[in-house]
Amino acid sequence: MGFIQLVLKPLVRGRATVRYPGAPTDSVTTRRVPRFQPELCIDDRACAAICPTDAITISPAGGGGRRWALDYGRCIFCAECIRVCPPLAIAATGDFELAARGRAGVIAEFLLGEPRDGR
Amino acid sequence: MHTQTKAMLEQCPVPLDLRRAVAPNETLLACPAADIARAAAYFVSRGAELATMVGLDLEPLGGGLAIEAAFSLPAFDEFIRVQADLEGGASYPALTPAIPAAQWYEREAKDLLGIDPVGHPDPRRLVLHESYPHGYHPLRKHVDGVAQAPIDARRFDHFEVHGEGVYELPVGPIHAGVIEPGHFRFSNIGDLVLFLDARLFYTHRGVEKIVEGMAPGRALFTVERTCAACTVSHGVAFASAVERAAQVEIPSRARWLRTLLLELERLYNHVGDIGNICAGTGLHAGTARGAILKERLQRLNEALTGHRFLMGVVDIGGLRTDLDARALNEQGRALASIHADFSMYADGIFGVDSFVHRLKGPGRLDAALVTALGGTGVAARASGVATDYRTQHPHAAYATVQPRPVVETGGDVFARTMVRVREAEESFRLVRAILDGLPGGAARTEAGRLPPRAAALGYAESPRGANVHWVMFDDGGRIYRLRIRSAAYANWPLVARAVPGNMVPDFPLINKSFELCYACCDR
Amino acid sequence: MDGKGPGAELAAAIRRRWRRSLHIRHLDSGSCNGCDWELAALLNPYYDIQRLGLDFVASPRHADLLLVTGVMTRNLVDAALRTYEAMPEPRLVVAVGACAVGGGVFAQTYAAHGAAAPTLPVDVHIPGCPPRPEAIIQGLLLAVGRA
Repeated sequence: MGFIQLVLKPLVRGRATVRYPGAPTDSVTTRRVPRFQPELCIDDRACAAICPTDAITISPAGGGGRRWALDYGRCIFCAECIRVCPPLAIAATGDFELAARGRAGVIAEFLLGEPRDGR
Repeated sequence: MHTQTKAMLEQCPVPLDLRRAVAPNETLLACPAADIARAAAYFVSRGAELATMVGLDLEPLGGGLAIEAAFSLPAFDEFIRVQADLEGGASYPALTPAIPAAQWYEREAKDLLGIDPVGHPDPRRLVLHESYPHGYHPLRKHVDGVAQAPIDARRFDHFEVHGEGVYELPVGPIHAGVIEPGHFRFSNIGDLVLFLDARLFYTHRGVEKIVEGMAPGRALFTVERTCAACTVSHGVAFASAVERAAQVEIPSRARWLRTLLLELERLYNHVGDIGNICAGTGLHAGTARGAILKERLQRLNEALTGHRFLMGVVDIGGLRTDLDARALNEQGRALASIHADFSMYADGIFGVDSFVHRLKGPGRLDAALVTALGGTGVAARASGVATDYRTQHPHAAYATVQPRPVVETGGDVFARTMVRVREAEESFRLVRAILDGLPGGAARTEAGRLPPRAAALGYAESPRGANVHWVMFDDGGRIYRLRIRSAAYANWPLVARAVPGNMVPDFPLINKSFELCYACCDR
Repeated sequence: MDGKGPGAELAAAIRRRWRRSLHIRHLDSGSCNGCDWELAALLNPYYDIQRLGLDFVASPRHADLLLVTGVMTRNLVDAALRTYEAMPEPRLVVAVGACAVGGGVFAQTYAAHGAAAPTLPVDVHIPGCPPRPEAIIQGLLLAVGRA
């Protein structure tokens, strides 16, 4: 008796299957995915210092500028960079469609002073 | 120290030197290397259980190689740690002949540190496969943790069974399904398995070496990824080892929330495992509905903590962020609905006679063997061995939120499945109790100063049994040595013993009934 | 692979050929189990990737695409290469999760070579630790030119 109930249950409950990718996902997506907002950056480098996988790097770029890069391919989405950034220059998002062809495709690169999304 | 512990130490036939342990329920003893096996055998004869063994290279601190065996005294919630300095040498008399549970720890220390357990019955390698050169011991302090040693290619050494009609069936390391890698060498006659040699450690990543020199807070991210399915129990074990060394009491809200996380981890694991047992018997409706329940629990994990596997929530000193009161409330209601569906599900699958019939009998293990090999968790409790660190060594808030013990005596696939069903029911009850009684206040405190060159144990009962972490710090509060003893590590030798005498086609089912992680074991 | 030349042509051919159906072989090269469990979740009734013409197969001989999880451990590098070589051409490789894509928390150690590349020629990278099931679906569809 119990097993029949179990088999018939989906008929009562309706469809469990998500409509993704045909429609946006219905799950509550984790808001731990960092998105850099270069105009808010104060260059205190707290993000790069705290990152446990060194996914965030800040290096000198030509003309005295700096290159801020987040390698989503190394990121473990711990959200520590979001937590430690005083001006909230790193937003917490639920973005998850991060896959890309080629290794460079999963690295977000910004030239500070002259913001440019490299992804 | 309990009076009986004191009496046990006084009557020990081996001279022991009492040292100062930093954690409150630990007793640290030093003994000559030549006597450690005798001392260990004496403790086990008096009811102590091997919790972990650690090989140490103290050369940068002006010492040499050392070996430590840590024992749990389950009756008094205490631990005895016996350390032997190898006095410039690299060998000691093996514990394994008297304590079979020590077999892997000793082989591992031989691989990783070149510490030779003299008289060990199995001289083969364990962690380092044949590609690693002879005489290379990566956990020695002078060895670079990043550089790759040259490739050596010696033959894989496995046990062979000889006799008329005996054949070998090699399986793995890459398996047919979405499963972790391991190599199983069956020696069979027809369908009957005579002997199983399980070769693991394919996913050995060097976790313990990676964290050496790291501050504990940073190391936690790596430690949590020892195994995703046991991430909370590893996180809690590691964090509590650090806190116990620093002699810090974490706030009671943090203890309760850790208990909540540990039970949520147990729930999605147990429910998923029951679904997988259905897969192993071809009960497809049970597989699908089990997968749905597991997915609902993982979605609940995410709604509550932001992570489907609960990673990144535990921190040294408590929790990284407090859990949101409204989310706790909402998820409490969601959990009640999952609980009702789970109960109906369990009734449903156990109402199928052919399913129950398939589970009864295969993979039987008796209590004596489980105890001798140091089994833990579900596998032990299904064979009548009532071991559970939640009640024997209450951590997190288990002293207040007490689980009712679940023990089965069949020792077979059915008993292990039944333990999971009953424990899942118990976890639903515990989670309810935690949500109802959750204290307020802070969810984190500062860890404080770590004592230089001191070590402490930390532990947590994972879905598969006790995870025991042994952590030692350097002079600057960084990790000097970490030894992760996972429940899977303790239980894998049981699997190899549960299979002989069964049919080859029952192996996947028996293996699933243990449901041990390879990642946890291999590190 | 988005550039010009024979690589781009091959990519286009692969996309044409596998638009509707694709057989996947999973390879755990040293994972912590997280990515693996999310791959298993793809088969549950919620994500049910068979509805998209994607399915896991038992043998690399039957597979069009190799899905790699975990850092490439020294103890598995041989088995990983043999799995790849057993696949018929043309074949795709997708790296799933922080370890296979960039080394993650383990990276290079005495026991691991880090990311799946360069041991294997990775076509698509799916970040995450672990990536959620929808993220893996997106990456797979990207690999076959449907995203």
